[in-house]
Amino acid sequence: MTTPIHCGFIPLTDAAPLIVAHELGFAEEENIALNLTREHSWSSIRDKLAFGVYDAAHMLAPMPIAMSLGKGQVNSKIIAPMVLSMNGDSFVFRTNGEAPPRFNDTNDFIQYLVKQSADAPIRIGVPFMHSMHVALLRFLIKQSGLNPAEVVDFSVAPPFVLAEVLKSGEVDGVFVGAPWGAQITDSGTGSLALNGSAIWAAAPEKVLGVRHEWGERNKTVLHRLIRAIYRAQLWIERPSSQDTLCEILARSKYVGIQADLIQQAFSGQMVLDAKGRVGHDPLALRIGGSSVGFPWISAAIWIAQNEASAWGVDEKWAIETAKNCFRPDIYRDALMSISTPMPDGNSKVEGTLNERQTINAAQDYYLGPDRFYDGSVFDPK
Amino acid sequence: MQCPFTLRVHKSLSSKRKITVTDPLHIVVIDPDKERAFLIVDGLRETMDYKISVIGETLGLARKLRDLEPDIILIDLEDPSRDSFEQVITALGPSERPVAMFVDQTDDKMMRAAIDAGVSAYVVNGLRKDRIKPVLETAIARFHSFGRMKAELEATKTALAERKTIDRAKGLLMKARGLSEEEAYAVLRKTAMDQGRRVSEVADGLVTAAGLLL
Repeated sequence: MTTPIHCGFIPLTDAAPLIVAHELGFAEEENIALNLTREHSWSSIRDKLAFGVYDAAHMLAPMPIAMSLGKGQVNSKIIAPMVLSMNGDSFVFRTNGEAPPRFNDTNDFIQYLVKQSADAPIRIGVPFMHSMHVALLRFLIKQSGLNPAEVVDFSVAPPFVLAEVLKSGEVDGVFVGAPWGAQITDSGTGSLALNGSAIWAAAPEKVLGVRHEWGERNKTVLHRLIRAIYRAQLWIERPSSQDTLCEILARSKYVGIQADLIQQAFSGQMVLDAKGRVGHDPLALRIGGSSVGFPWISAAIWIAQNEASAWGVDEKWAIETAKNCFRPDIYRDALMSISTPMPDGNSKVEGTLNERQTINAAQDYYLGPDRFYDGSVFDPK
Repeated sequence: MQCPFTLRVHKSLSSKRKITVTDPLHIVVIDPDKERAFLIVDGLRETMDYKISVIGETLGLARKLRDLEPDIILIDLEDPSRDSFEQVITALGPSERPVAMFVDQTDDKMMRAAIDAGVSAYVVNGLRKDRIKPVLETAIARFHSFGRMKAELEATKTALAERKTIDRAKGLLMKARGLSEEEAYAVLRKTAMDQGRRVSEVADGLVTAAGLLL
């Protein structure tokens, strides 16, 4: 029997695993009718998931943790049994006659931030406060020995609106998910300075979010959904899929933007400004393949530990909650039946892999790179 | 006995706001859609004696909310500016900071009805539930009727446009094949039936083709 699953998504390139699972029939193969609804704000997705309008949702990785902690207007236990994508956010500064920092050069970037915030914090547009955009930027500033609150003043708007916000002059720069950064550089409003991947090469960006209680009641359905999305991620990795994928995403019911702008993050050839300078970043968006989906507990702890004080919650409690939000156990159970290679542990020391490497006893599971910009490591205890 | 004037002064000076049963609730409706805002305000006025303000432009929202000191804020659940709105209210002081009604999940049925209607409400701390309920009920009803009105308007618009196209297609057939109006319509209808399409689709195809050929 076919099970309908209602799922909300925000028009972003990293909704691709969900869209592909539906469009290429991977969901159907698992007897799932995946009903995707395009949403206009993260708040709306959050509320509709919490109140059962949706069974599953495209979510910013910190959202399930924040929601489970009762932060952000709802108090609802949400779990993330799968990561949909890593990286994908780009920092774009408004063109103001001044030379932007060198592409993906974090030192140059920090110096630029310091200079621009000499008199008042630099105004940065982000899509949501419980996001990797905010977590990564705060991390970068803190690691550099500075106080995020003195350097940055955050403004929030949905990703597809940030271009307008930047143009209006309400902010000096935006940190935004693909393809909306490419849209801004294409229009000449701003130049691309840094991708999130330069701060952390393996930052979990979007996750599949479901209510804990729904997951408990619908175990096999959830397993089927995870398998469908996993197969979509494998399909996305094939180079021959790229053109089709970009055309599908370009449709107005999905991302609704020209396919060539969507292509940039996939190919890693990113147009930096209106002059057509190109920067190369193969890690710009990691969304395909067998190693993206694993929801590392260590990544959840990283988010909790880095954001707890900003969220105004006790760090220990945040970490404990985060550990129960990311659910590698469910991910393993879901993929066991199709004998997928898996890592041996559920948590790892983040930041140790400079290159791709096998990390399991069976030598068939590749990971990495997962380095931080400053070569630091994160050892979750 | 306190006169209203001193009461107001007292309220604005007090660091922590006290809402008494006798004060009319101050409801702020955030809606860029003037028609819907009007519909909601109208409904609320019929419900009870409320003080109501409408914000149509979200620029400078923090300052506006600080000045207005609302007890309840109503905003379209689907409004893309809701993410910014939430960031703005999080930055407000604890006594003036409204919280989404979703936080208190005791009345699940009501919450679900609100979500289905597309209403989200934010309420300041300490407001009694029985005072929120009629506001929410009115908002839900008005959101629904606005949705219906819009759907009806769309349907009328489409019907009008379709009729225009059919008239033009009929005209083309009458001229090209020397048919009467009824005969021209019969041709369109038969073609539509044979092809399993709607008359308006066939008419549209004909008009487009004629535009290309002539």
